Amino acid sequence: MNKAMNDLFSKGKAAMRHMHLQLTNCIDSAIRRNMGKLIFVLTPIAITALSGCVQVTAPDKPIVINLNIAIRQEVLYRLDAASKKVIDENPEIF
Amino acid sequence: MRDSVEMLIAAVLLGATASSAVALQAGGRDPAYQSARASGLVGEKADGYLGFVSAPSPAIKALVEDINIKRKAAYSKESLANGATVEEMALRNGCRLIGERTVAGEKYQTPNGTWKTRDAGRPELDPRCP
Repeated sequence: MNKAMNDLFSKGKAAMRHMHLQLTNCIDSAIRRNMGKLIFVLTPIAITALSGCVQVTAPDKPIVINLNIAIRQEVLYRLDAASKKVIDENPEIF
Repeated sequence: MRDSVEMLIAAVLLGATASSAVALQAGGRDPAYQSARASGLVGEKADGYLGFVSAPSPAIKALVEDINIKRKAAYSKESLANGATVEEMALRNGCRLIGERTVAGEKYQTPNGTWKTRDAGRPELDPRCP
C-alpha cells in the first residue's frame, strides 16, 4: 500500500487526487454496499449447507399423553373430606 | 291410649318399609343404573368414572355417559374448592368408590386395566390411593 501511495506521489498531484477520489468512491459504491448485505444472506445458507439436512419424520405410533403426571400424592391425602362430600351430595350418580 | 300404640306401630312399620326401599335403590340410584351395576355390564374405573365391562346397549351407553358427565361436573366443582385438579379429585374419589362403594358381584377396574368382580376381600386399588 505504501509503495503504491509512493507511486501515486510520483504521478503528480492532479493524477493522485483523481486516483484518491476513485478509491474513496469505490468504498461507497453500490456493488460494495450490496456485497456487504449479501454476507447476511449467504452466511446462513453456508451454515445450513455445512450442518446438512435436518429431517423430521412423523412417529408411526399414536402420541400418548400420560395424564397421571398431573396427580400429586399429597393432594390425594387432603381430598378425603371432599371425596366424602361429593358422594354424599350426589348419591344418584355414584 | 290403645289408638296411640297402634299409631306408633303403624308408623314404625311404615318407616321400616320406606328405609328398606331406599336401601334397595342403594342411595337414590336410577333402577336401570343399579341393575347395570349389579349385572356387571358397567363397572367402576380406577380414574373415578364408570366404564363398560362389555359392549353396551345404546340405552346403557347413554345412561353411563350421562352419569360420567355429572360426575365430572361434581369433581370439577369440588376440586376447584380444594385447589386440586379434576383428575386428582376424580382419582381420589375412584379409590373410595371401588374400596367402599362397590359391593360383592359388582365390577371394578384394577390398576392394570382389567376388570375384576368385587368379592368379600380387599379390592386391588391404584397404588396412589391414600
